Amino acid sequence: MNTFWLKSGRLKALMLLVLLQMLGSVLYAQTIKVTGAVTDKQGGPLPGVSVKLKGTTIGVQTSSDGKYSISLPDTDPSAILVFSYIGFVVKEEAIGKKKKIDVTLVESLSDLDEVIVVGYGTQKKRDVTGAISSITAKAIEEKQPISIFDAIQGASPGVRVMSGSGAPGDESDITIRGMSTLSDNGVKPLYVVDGVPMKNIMSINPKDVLSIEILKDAASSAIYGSRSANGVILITTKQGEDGKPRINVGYLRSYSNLSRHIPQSNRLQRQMFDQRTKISLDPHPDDSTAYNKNADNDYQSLITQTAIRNQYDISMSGGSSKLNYFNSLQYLDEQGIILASFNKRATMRTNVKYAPSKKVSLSTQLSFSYQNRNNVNEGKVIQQALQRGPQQTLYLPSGELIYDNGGRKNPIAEAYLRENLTATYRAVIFQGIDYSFTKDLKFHADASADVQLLRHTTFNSKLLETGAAAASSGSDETRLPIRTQGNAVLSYKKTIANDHNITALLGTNFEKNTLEEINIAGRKFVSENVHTLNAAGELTLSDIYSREGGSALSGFFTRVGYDYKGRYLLNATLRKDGSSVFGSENQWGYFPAASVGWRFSDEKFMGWSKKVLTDAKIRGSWGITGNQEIGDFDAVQQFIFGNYYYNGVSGVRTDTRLGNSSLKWEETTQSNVGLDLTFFDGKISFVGDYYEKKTKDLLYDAPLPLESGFPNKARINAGSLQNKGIELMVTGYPIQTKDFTWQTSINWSRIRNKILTLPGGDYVDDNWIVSEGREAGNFFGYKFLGIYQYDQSNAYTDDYKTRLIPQFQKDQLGNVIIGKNMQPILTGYTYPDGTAYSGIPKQLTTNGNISKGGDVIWANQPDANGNLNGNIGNEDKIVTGYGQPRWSLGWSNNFTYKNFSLAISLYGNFGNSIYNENRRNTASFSNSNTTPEPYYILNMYKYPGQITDSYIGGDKAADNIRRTNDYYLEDGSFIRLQNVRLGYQLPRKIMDRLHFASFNVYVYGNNLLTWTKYTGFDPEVKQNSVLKPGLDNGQYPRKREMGLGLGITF
Amino acid sequence: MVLLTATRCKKFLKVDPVSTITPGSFWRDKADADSWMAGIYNSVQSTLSTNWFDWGEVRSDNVKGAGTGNAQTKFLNNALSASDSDISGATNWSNLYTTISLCNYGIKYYPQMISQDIGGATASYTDYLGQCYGIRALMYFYGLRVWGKMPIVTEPLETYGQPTQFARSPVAEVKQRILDDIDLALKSIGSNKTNKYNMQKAAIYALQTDVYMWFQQYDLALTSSQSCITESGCTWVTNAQSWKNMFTDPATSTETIFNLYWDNIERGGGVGVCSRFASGSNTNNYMITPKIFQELFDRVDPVTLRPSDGRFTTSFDTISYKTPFDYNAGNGAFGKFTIYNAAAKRSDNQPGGAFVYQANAECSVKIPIYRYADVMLLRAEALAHTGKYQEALDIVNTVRSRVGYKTTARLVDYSGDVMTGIERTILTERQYEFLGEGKRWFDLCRIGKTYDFTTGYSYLAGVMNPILGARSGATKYEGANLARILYPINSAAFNANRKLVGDQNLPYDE
Repeated sequence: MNTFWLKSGRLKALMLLVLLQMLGSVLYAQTIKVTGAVTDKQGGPLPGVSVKLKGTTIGVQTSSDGKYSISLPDTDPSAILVFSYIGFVVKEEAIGKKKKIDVTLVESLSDLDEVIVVGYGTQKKRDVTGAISSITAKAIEEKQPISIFDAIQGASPGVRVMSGSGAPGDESDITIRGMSTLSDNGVKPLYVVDGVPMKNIMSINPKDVLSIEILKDAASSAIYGSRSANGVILITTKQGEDGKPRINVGYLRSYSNLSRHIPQSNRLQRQMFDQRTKISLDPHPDDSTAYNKNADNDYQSLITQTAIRNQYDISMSGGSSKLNYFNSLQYLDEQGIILASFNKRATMRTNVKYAPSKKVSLSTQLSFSYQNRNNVNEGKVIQQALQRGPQQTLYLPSGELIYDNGGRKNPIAEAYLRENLTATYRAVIFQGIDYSFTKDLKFHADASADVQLLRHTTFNSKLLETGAAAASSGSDETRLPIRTQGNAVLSYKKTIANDHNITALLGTNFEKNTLEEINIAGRKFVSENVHTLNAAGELTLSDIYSREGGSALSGFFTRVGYDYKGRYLLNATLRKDGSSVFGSENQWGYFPAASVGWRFSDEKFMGWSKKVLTDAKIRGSWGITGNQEIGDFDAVQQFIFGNYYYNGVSGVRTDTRLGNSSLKWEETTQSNVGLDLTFFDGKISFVGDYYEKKTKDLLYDAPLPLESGFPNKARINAGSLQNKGIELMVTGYPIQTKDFTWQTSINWSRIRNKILTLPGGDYVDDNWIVSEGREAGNFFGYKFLGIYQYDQSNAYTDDYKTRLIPQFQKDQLGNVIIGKNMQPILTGYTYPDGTAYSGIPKQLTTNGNISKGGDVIWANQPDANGNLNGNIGNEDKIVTGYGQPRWSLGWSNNFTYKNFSLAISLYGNFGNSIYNENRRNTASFSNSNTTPEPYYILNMYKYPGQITDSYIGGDKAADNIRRTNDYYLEDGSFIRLQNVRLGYQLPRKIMDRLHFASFNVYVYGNNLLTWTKYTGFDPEVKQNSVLKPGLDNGQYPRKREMGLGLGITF
Repeated sequence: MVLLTATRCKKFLKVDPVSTITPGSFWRDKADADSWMAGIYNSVQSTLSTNWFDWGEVRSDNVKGAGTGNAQTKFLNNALSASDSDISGATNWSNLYTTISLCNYGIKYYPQMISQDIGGATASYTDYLGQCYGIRALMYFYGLRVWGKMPIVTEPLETYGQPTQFARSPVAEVKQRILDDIDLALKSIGSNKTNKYNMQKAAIYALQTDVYMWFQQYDLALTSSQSCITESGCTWVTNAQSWKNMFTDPATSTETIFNLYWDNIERGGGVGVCSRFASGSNTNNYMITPKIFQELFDRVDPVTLRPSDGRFTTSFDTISYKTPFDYNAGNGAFGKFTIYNAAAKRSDNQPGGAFVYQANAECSVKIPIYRYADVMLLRAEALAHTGKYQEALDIVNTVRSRVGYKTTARLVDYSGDVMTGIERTILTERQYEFLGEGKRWFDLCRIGKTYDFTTGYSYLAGVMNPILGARSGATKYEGANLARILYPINSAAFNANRKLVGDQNLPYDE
């Protein structure tokens, strides 16, 4: 009843309003009409520009050809028309007697008036009090990104995008303001695409993106509560604009190749290696059947190709005041630089907004994507190619591949015959409704579903297997993750007495995730040509299963904001979240945050600086954010089955992880202070931030005693971690003339991470140490000091503190005499300063074996009492390097000259080390077919007295190759010329004649140059692991890409 | 209203596992009991897949390297270390304790099922309870032989927060735990003589014999072994082929007591036998030393002058390897567990050869844990130590003659320290009989003074040091390195159990 009355009452009021309006237009019979066109600097029409009579509500918008026509009351000859358009400087024109007013709008240098997206709403950039970085569609376009990750890389301080591999279609890792937890799954930011939270944004077409906002501090991200500890990335896709349909067509083609070849031995070097104990080369003549020694392969060239990428884009957008739409279609066909790898992706998006009345608007977004990719097995193709002897033939004289040559696999055959396809079908369906109760009070509700179907199929040809019973094998996995979620938000915005701005927001969010999986695997396929499992002659019992999992999340949130004249700004948020992944007693958590801003440039006492300092604001924020990225059922003790057969009975056992019913939220408290400065009307702007993050109750994967029966640890809340960082960004226009502009933006960030408390104490994890008071991900191992020149060089004083110098019999020329037994004749020892040593020298052992000439001299570390022992063992390990970069730099430049534009961007990471495991592995003598790099072979210790830094070959007793030694730890710093793009836009006149709205051609290059000391393929190795970063096993190398493209808008 | 929302929320947030079982809904019927037992044996498989060899054989005089992997070098050179990832499978006791943990669950919950007589299957639950005790005893016995002192865990870990850190208990306490578990097992365990793939009463007696022999309690060993003989109902096989069947078809053999079942299809992988020395898909990691090949080669029939010991001709490919030299040069495989197919050809198409080596992933050998000859030869040792020399030699001669080698060991041939002489004869016979079965290293360890790392282990050092001395870069068992007879405890064990810190086996690092 009540609502009906309300509704009918409203309707009446509405009708009255319409009537009044009609009446009004009759009353103002005396009007004049002004027409004109609005163009940009290049003469292109600007549609959608607001044209208003100053001081009134009378106004129109320009049409798609930039023209407008406005009827004005003929009252005041001094009336002024105001032309405003986002991203352009507002222009005012006096009307006077003019009937036609054409204006040219100039792009604004300052972005202060831009509206940016924040959690559950928008805000003017000038009023932002949190730490938010924004990336515009234009900045994205200039990079020619293949994936959304390329678009974000290097664009914002404190945001690190690292891709561990150059494989086509691989997802990258984004971290914002460092690693705030200790588990690898918990360091990803939350992605929110058009209001829909997502775990994976791989399927988003960068061309559909209108803006990317990165919420870095707690104040801006805490409204996302339990998932906001690592920041939030908001992606907004394009909407149609009022006016005639605009059609965009684009085509791009590029060529890529291996960006860097690493040193690899040739056949001669391999022969030298084989003959390392003799001083001669292999004397045997080779014939065509000596497959193990009659080739000289350059594997890196053989397994790589010039990869072609074709990309087709078409989009159509437009609309009227009631309905607008944006449609896009993209098809990407990309080859990988390693043989047989590829990525194909088709994406389709439809965004429709319909406003049947001024009160109601509906928005519908649909996006579909399909991706199919083949991943080569990195170990069997790339690492195999790097280890295999160059002399081992790949082909028989008949041209047939040799699949196995003396135990070594053929990397070319491995690339082609080991199929690993991943097909992803994805649909995101979103329906939203907005209702304005009044001008100030608005309601928004939406519901969305993100449905994915993942099909992962593998097939390994039996040709790759050896032995009598060689059999093909394959698997087929289907995963069906579904995420449904909904939001309801009530928002209020009011300006009181012109100066007091109030905003308020209240909302709720719920979300449900389910995951269903089916897996089949089998062997012995009846035919090599059929790869589906119906052809499997034998199914692998332990790999046939289906299973399900899921989680649920619900939240309530509120935000209030107040500002006085935009000078004093205040924002506060609170969220309460409940999640199913925690113990039932600890499901709910509270996440408060507050931020303040002071625009001191508006204060009277700053009046003197107005000419230089256009705008200045200090910001401060504090808040608590949460993390819940753990397994769906880590809180539950479970018995598992399916893989534990014995004698025909399917066994049940305890899960390999121990459930912990007391699990609760991980809390990150973050404080941030920032300074925003704008000089000379936006010619130079500066943003600086300093923050401190402290995370407590870490969702820590605690190692359990090996005696516990739960080998895979237990999730607990324990320990604390701190991240401190500085982020600076300067944007400016150093040169700006009529024809030429140069815009540059440079950002710098520095971060330090520290483990404050660690339950259970320090421990060593492979190459790394996890230790209280240190950073996470520090390399820990033995320090390499050199190579013993003679057997006798392993000689120390009694306390092992000083290494003695052996003295040998020499000839008249001062050369050491080597006897027939290949040994010098020892005459005694001296201290390093030359004084004679009279005692019996001590010798160091490794693993109980005395080190000899050619063995590594390891640094002997003192124990707690400062004493040294005679053995190099675990107690001699020290921190040898940092796995995480310590500071990062991004620098982008845009030059425009008349119709030409040039964009150049660079970025770099500094201060970290990389463990070059690939180099260590090839020189580890793990088997006789592994070939070390040329430097090692050429410098390998071969005779007493040799001065070198490459240890003696093949002797494993001394354990010279021991893992975690710092000989293979390299400086991982680099600067990369990430992107160069040169574009040309057809002159206006020609375009008008051809009826193009724009016509662009461009050439570009990605990853053109890298300056680094690192000797592997690429210094950008996987960094997503918090505790074990910076390991290079020889993964899929990165490519250098050059391409050209064309974009036309009708 | 608020209350309603609160309950709705609670319901919305209640998401239970769909594809796993929570402990509260388990132990409800016989199928639960059966599958838990299968889970335990599956865990025994994980524990012993490669470790029956890496613990019991690789460091002994039976073995020589064939492949070139780092792990092989480290085992053969006596260069074990706690933090070495190449050999962590053998130094890490995580799987062993997982098996113990699963047994602890069984020991806690089977009695509840017995008391409720769920489904009237009390007999099965009682048998399972006995098997849990038996497997737990077997696991601790492996631990005791490999590492010496062991942390003793007898309660299942069911919730986070229960005590999990236990210090190592002295050898005597571990021994007592094992013997107690054996007694408890004997009280409940079943006596099915045809079930060779689960531990049954005979297997427990065999284990008991082994334990008493390890601690040199010969009288007790004689009693246990007699119980085993009676309980098992085993009889000697009669020729080389039926001896071979013991390994290729243990279920039907008259000499098998307890073998670990393995089926590569249900398990999704092969047992470690093939990769270790009879691989159809790769280079064998190890080979039986040419010296043993030679010794067995020399056990000829006095008339035909051809090798007469059936264990030799059914284990080695004597067509491919005509001489010990050929065998050595060809990194010869050891085909004891491999099916012998007279019609088949070798995988590399070399002339001759009849062993069909399985690919590592398809290796389905059901490795023998205890069998009749093991108990009998241990009994022979006990007899020798108790002065019953002839009875001891009789067992040795039976073992020999059943596989075609008719030359007998005669008491008159021994002089001086007769007991030690006979003991050595028995140990050598054990070496040949159990080649590749993970027994020899433990035999070397238990002779003479044990757990004495200054003057003990003279037999082991006497056998191994000449071999190690000839290997480049190998460490002999002498001085501080004598204690290397025990394995290092993996470094990872110290990360989460502070009570182990400072209690590593010397001379290893933590």
